[in-house]
Amino acid sequence: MSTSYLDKSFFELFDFDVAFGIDIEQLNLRYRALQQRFHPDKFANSDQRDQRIALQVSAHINEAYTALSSPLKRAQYLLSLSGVDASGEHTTTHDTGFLMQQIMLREQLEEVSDAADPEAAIDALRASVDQTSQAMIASFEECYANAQFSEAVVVVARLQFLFKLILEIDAVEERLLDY
Amino acid sequence: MALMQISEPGQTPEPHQRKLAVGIDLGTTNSLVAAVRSGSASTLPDINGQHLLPSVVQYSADKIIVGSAAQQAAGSDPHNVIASAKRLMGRGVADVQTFAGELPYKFADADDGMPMIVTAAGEKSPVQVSADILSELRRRAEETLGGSLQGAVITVPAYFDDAQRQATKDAATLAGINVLRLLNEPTAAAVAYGLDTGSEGLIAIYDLGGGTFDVSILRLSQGVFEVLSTGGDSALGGDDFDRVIADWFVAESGAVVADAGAARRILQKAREAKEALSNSDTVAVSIDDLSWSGRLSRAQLAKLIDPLIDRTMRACKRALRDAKVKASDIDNLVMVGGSTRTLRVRERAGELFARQPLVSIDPDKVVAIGASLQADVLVGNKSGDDLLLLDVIPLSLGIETMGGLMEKVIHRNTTIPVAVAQEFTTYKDGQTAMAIHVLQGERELIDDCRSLSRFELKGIPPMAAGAAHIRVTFQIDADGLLSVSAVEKSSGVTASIQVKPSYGLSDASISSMLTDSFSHAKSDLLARELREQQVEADRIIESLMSALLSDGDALLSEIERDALMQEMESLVALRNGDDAKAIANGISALAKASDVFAERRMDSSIKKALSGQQIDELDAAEDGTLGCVEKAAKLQSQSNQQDKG
Repeated sequence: MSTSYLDKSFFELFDFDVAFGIDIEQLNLRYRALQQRFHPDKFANSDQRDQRIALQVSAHINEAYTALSSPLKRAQYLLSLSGVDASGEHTTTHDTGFLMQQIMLREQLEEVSDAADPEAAIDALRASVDQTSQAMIASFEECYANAQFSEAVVVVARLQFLFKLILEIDAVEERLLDY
Repeated sequence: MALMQISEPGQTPEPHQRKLAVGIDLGTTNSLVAAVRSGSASTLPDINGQHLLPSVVQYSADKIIVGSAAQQAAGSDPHNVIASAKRLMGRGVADVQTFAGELPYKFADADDGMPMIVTAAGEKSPVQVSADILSELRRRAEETLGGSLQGAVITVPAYFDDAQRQATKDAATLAGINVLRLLNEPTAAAVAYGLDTGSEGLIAIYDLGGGTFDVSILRLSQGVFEVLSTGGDSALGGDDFDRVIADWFVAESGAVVADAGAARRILQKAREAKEALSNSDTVAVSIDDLSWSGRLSRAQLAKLIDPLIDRTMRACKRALRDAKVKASDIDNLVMVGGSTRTLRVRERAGELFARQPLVSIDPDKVVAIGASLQADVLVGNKSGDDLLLLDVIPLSLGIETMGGLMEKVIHRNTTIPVAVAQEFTTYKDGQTAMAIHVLQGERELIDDCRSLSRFELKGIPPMAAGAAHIRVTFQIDADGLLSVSAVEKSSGVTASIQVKPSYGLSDASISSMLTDSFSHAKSDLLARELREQQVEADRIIESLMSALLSDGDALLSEIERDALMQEMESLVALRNGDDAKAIANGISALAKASDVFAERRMDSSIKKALSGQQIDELDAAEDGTLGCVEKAAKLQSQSNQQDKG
């Protein structure tokens, strides 16, 4: 009869077309509507079978929401739906242009602690990485829309590096400001 | 088709009766129980009008005393009066050794890693001590509310790990309490505060109790409470303030602490001085045990406790960052926990968040009140309520990999419930078993993380090394508790899993503790099992009837409906009998028979939820208030109409 919700793509689950650009406001509203219906708290009084199902559905909704909310994860998920392997560890090694940028950004991060105003240096570095990420996201959207999958995979690998770098910047900031 | 009769043994059915549910704040220093009555939530006092129950238990050879009387005996009977047992929940013997010097109890060697306290009533685990406190609260609630409890929402610090949460649930089981939900304390406070004021926006909860510190950042919006991040320290609280003050007294006096009794009396003096300073600038202190008197000022107190408050500040900054918000983005700062009465704490928190902290709701009661509000909804007293709590896991969960490293599987601040799968394979030909060591924490090395448990997977079909694809699913439920399941993908075989908690009670231990606690063991146990099966049977029948009423026509053919109705009738007949095992089998049979229907409902439900369609609101409201017998009658007449038409 009807296909199980588990077989649907995350986009279908939230009633979106399969595309990179989604209305985040709508995503949030639909996420809440789904959890209002399926969260285990709504089944606290039900039998164990319904409770078990609610737990699985609610966890699945959370997984779908996490995948679609983050631009990087959404991009990776889209590629996986198209049957393209987006685990980018091997691709960055051939991406020589970006490799240079990676080295530069890492060096900048290391030098931050010696800067006259470390906090300002960190903020500046973070802002610059954010800007590059935005550009990458736009680039992915274009490549994907034109079904240029090999280029899209490269962009995703770059995005992954940038998101990781943000986490490293956060860690340095934590150490410096004595968290 | 026969009309279905369902009757409660020894009771006439009253479908519109409110179900009794409470919220319990099981605190390090004080515990409380609250309930919603006549539409408003309040804490329940004891016969002397006291709302707070000191989390203190005195064990004597012939009796157990819980509360103020026990607390008063602490100075004279230090080894048998157990306080702050919460600090030992989910902890191992090694942990106890680190703060054993500060706890004047006698610890025994334990076999399953749990610390046992030697008392005049025998060896007691922290879980048993907590169970005794919960039993007292349950007694109080049942006497006040005039009936037996259907369930309780019990709060835990947001920063409690899996072992600490499981220990809390085990304590409730021993106290005979049905846990509706384990609720994080800051979230409970946010619910009480949010529902009371109708506030929206970003709220920071700074919760400093006797032994634990939590900070949570939440977004409140139209009944949805979404936790953005949580942080804290499950070994930091007002008790530590008392300790540094007591140490200062000892240092100032130059005297030596004679014995455990003296130590507890000095701690008590420290606590009194700390509390007095909330109302005056300096306080006079006189301690016989040290032959010393002097003065403690607010300034001196600040010097002593600032390093401890620093730790809370760090956790706050990390929580802000994890939530991706700035301190200035926060709309409201709420102080929770008795220890936030210390003015220096309010000062420093106010500085960080650049605003006056809100203390309008009693910081001692707010958590229990929030818990009772959720309990009221969960037990089914309020239908169609918009209250939705989306909480998070506070600590990353991971597994041990080669070289003693911790590999994260679920990251901290992930919204729960959540399920993540990982693939494993075998390393030897014909390998049929595998062990997974699960830990919680943020560090790289397993030695720096908390060991939770070891899962032993058995029954893997023997294959060549590396050929097996074992998919292990780690699931965190809404209580924040972990369960693991495993399937070998190529054969579809489900592996059987044995859980060995690192610091907890095994299922066998709990069963035997439960049996021991019944005075007429066997017959009580049987009666209890029968009752549990009947309740579960009622639940599945009730929910299936509702489902048939709302979706039966749309999603099932007449033949399918009839088949289900027959299965239901069989279960009703079993349920009215007294064979617990037969009822259990009947429940499985009905669950299996209705699985297809459940799946269809799930799919159509998702569509409805998204399109904002509700089941015709009148029907829904009506169905919500119908009792079992009325629902059966409605189903019967619907089916008669179908036969005619």
